[in-house]
Amino acid sequence: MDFDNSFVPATYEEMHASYLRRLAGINRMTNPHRRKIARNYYLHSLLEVAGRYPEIFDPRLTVDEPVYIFHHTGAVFDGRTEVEGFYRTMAESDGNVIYSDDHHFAVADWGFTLEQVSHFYMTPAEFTRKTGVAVEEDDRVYVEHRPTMRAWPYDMEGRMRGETLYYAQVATYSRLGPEHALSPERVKAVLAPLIDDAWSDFLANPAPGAEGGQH
Amino acid sequence: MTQQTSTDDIRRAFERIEQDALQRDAAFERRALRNYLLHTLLTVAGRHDELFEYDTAVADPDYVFFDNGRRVQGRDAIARYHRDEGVLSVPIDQRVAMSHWGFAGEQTLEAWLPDGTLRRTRCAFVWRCDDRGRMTSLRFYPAARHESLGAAPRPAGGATLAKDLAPLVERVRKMQ
Repeated sequence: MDFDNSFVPATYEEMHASYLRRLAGINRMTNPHRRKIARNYYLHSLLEVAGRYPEIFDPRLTVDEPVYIFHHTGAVFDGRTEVEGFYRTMAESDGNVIYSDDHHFAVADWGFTLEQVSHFYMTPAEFTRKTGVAVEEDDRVYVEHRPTMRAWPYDMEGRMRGETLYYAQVATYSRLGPEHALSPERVKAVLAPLIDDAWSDFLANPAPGAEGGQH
Repeated sequence: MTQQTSTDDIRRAFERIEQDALQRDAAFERRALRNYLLHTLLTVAGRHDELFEYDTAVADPDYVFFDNGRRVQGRDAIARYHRDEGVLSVPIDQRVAMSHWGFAGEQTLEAWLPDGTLRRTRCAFVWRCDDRGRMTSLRFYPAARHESLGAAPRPAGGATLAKDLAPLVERVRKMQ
């Protein structure tokens, strides 16, 4: 396999700054319902990357029985029990350490779309499991770079009804030195203050229903 | 048995996008949707020579297909792609979200294939554009699984469909 040498490895500081840039964009939104959707997603993505997925099921964020559809594989997780199982599997493999860039975010009354390049950090074993390519079991870091697209629906109270995802079928990969590893524990610690602020913002800004909105 | 999609169904699907554009207050959003709609109408009507006649795209736009990684670069290549593809592909429903860079959404595509069968696919798409709503990049994320609807004749011959859509093309072309 040819590895991509152009990827600039993420740092904890850049990950933190990236979320703050997204938050600045959300705070400029003027439509309360759409801003609530954007704030909900911002908090959701922080919780997911920090491995704090149980909080995603807070009834103020997510409907009781969300449905996750992965159109690139055809997999469907229908209802809370199945969705929790999906998150548990992801967390057990440390698959929640995801950095992203090239964000193209748009929000409507029915939900949001987001096209971005997702960078999935992996151990050598995880890389081999995913790609079938055998590599040395050392402390190097493997990163998958994959364009991804989301179109998530929300209800009139701004609660997520599910995840709808479309991943590119073609990805590229980088192999990095161990100094570029992003540990799940450190990511969780770095994102914790942002999560605290995001929860406060979210709860302090209850949005009215989308008056006249189209779902 | 699946109900056949008619030329009326196709026209009404495009008219819903027209209504979406007309109901928008922001000139940029209206223009971006107008450009997308006109571009798509011309491809479906088989008017490939006119694809870039009405200020709907920048000088060097591209298509990117994320199911196979294919990139079609430039106006000539895009027109050739549609001319050679042999597939009639129609968005029968869609919803979009807008931003300053363009818009994106999900749609259901019905595609009449050269082998005479009809296929239905969910697809996410992105219309990236300049500040005049002109396409810089049209990006497709088709679902991996398609619903095969079996043998299905095209809803109309190319000339008939083009004629049926012609008044709508004219309206959209003049949309401000």
